[in-house]
Amino acid sequence: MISFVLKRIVVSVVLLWAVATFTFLLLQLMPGDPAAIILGGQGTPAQLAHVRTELGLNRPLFVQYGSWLGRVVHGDLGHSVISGQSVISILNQRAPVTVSLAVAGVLVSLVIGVVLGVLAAVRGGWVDRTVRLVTAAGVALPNFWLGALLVVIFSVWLRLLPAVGYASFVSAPLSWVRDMVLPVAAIAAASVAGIARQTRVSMLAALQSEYVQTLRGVGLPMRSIIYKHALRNASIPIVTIVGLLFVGLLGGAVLVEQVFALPGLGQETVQAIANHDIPVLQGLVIYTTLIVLVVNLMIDLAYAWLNPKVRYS
Amino acid sequence: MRLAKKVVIAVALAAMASTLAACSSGSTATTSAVASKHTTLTIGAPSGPNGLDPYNCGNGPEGNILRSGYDTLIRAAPNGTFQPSLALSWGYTSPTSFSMKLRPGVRFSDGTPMNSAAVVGNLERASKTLGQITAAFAQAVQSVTAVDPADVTIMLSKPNPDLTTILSSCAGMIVSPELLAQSSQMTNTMDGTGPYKYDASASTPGSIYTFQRKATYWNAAAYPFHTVVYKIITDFNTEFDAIRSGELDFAVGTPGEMSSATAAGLAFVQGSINFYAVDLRDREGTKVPALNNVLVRQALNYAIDRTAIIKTFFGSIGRPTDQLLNVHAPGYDVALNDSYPYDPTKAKQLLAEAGYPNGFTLPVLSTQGFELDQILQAVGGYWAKIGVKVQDEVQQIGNWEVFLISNEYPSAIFPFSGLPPYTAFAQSFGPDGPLDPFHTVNPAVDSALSQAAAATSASTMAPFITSAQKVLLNQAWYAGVGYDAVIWFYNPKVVNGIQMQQGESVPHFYNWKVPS
Repeated sequence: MISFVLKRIVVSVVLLWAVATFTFLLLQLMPGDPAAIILGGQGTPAQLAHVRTELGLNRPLFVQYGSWLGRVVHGDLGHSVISGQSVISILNQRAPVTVSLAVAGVLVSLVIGVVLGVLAAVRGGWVDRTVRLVTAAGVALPNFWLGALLVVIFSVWLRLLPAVGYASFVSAPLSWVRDMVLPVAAIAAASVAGIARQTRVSMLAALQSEYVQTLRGVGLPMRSIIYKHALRNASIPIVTIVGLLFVGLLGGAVLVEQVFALPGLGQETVQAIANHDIPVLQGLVIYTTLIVLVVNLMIDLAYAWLNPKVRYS
Repeated sequence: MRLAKKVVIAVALAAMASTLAACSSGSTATTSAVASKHTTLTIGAPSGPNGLDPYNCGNGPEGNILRSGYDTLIRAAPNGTFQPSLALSWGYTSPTSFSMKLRPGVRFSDGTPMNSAAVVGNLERASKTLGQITAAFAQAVQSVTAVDPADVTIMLSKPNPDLTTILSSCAGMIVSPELLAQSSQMTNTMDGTGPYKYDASASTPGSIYTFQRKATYWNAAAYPFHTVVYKIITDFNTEFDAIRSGELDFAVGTPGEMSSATAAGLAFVQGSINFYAVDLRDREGTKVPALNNVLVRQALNYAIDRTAIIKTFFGSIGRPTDQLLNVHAPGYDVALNDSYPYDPTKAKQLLAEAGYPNGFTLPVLSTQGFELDQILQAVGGYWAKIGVKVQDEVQQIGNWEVFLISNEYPSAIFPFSGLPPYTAFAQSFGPDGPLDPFHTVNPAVDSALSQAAAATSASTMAPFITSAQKVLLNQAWYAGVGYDAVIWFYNPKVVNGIQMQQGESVPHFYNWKVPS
């Protein structure tokens, strides 16, 4: 297991470098001039040239890359060209919002999705049909549209929940829950559908397998068969999906954060693109990639724990 | 117990718990909201500052956030005049010399007295920090001197009659010398003479900015609210939902929301900030020979139905006009407002007279932001009827700003927004204007702008601005469409006395009242 983890870490570092380099090069192709954006179209050509020199944009590309990579290796992602704030501090400030949104989304999706999937597989009939219909709607509805609809119903009409705002979980957990109900509902709708459907399929396969028939023949209680044996085996593909879902939720957070004015990485991404703030964009990609790599590693470890047949040489 | 019952009970318990949490938090918020209803003002803003450094602000809502902590040297009144702030009096002693007398007895949050040395330090920084808000100042200033603890003199390298306007913007905000010496801290810290102190513990940069009123502010009567909270909400629909649900007391709106807002008991203030026009910059005809002919440029003006376009985009509160100057701006002349009434027949006649009976193709630089491209397409529809085909060259905003100062495109649509009249004219039509990349020379325009630059007051500058405007219209240097409409909704039970600021997109947070 240790050698497996070490190998994954080495691969992750190489992958991170490749993503970072590719992003650096891709962002150089991004149209626009940070100097023009900083001066808002009111600068003279001399002033624009001065700002470009200050930002180091007049240096050859390979020099810019080398300088940037050297700083990244030492944990310095540079500074925002617009605010001057360190990129690391910007991302550290905003990451908890997005990560908490994504984690809450995954947990809610997992709980509700597994419950619905088990219900559909075990009960069948109208329960199964209803679950499939509801989950189809969940997949079809865009999360930003659903978010806007939830705001109108629960904030404007019923005045039950806030339309905007974010309180830190650490400092105000109840307020955090209150502020995150609608965003999590919006972002998790499609994920619930995906997990419910996968759970249903996996459970059906597990319940029809020979070992379950054997357990039934032996006289084991159905509850024990479902939760102790069938669900455990059915959860292996679910765990795989959870990893993919987390990555998807991180991306989906961009739109949901805009709708609910959450100060997360998604909101920062939109602002950085509009401002042509390349250091922040580069930092965002590296930061997000790192989060994804860590989550995938944790998923793989969970996978191994669930399925002893998986071997890591 | 059967599985289904367990699941139902579990879900019901979860729902009860979250509802209790929501209600209890909501109850607390409501209770505290009732208790502090008239002491806390919650303001929505579609954009926030890029850090708390005043020189990072543009002309948008972020200005109010910074104004809560920082005073400017001069205050711009809603009607376009200027009032004392940190400077009690000011004026040009010559076209290249500007003096100010400072208000005594004012202190920064850290207790340091505000004096000429502090002002000089700030303005010297403004002259060296190139940003959107400081570029004009940096271009004009030569030196800043503290004559004595209460008097400051600014020497200009060339005449600039807009210094009063510049010093009433974020470029004129005064930061405490101690914070100025650690300018890298200014992104997250504020220390000014303004009415409120920034409460970092209750703020989340980029999302929420909270301010607590200072007990010792020199103009406390103008700020009755003890606490001001700014919430950055970039989505207009979300911001509107938030003010309707009572989470905001003041928020930006759109013309289409007015009936819903009124039904929800909200009031509004409106103004106009952006003048939309197609700048016909290739007047020498180097890329499009047709633009060299004044009859062609006049034809393009006659062909536009401004009233229809403005009404479509901004409803009845937009203002169709071909005069670039806004109402109350020095030099504004109401007689110039309809210099080219909609007349497609006359437009075709002029084109034929100019030798273009079948029209021509005109590339126009555009971008997706600020509804520019949509308005260009509307204008293009009218020009198509007289045979002029618009080649819509849409660029992403970053590229658009670069191309605006290049001579790549013979024409461009952009909003002449929020600049004082001399600066707007000089930048777009002056001999060295960065926004006139083809450097068209017109002796009458250049002479009028030179005389405007040498003026030492708005009243002496005005006739020259009017003169320049007349020439620009007569020679049809641009094809104007009109002014947009900016609307801000507010809850009249929580706040009133709000006035729209002349030439700006947001009312200044100043002298807002608690309803009696």
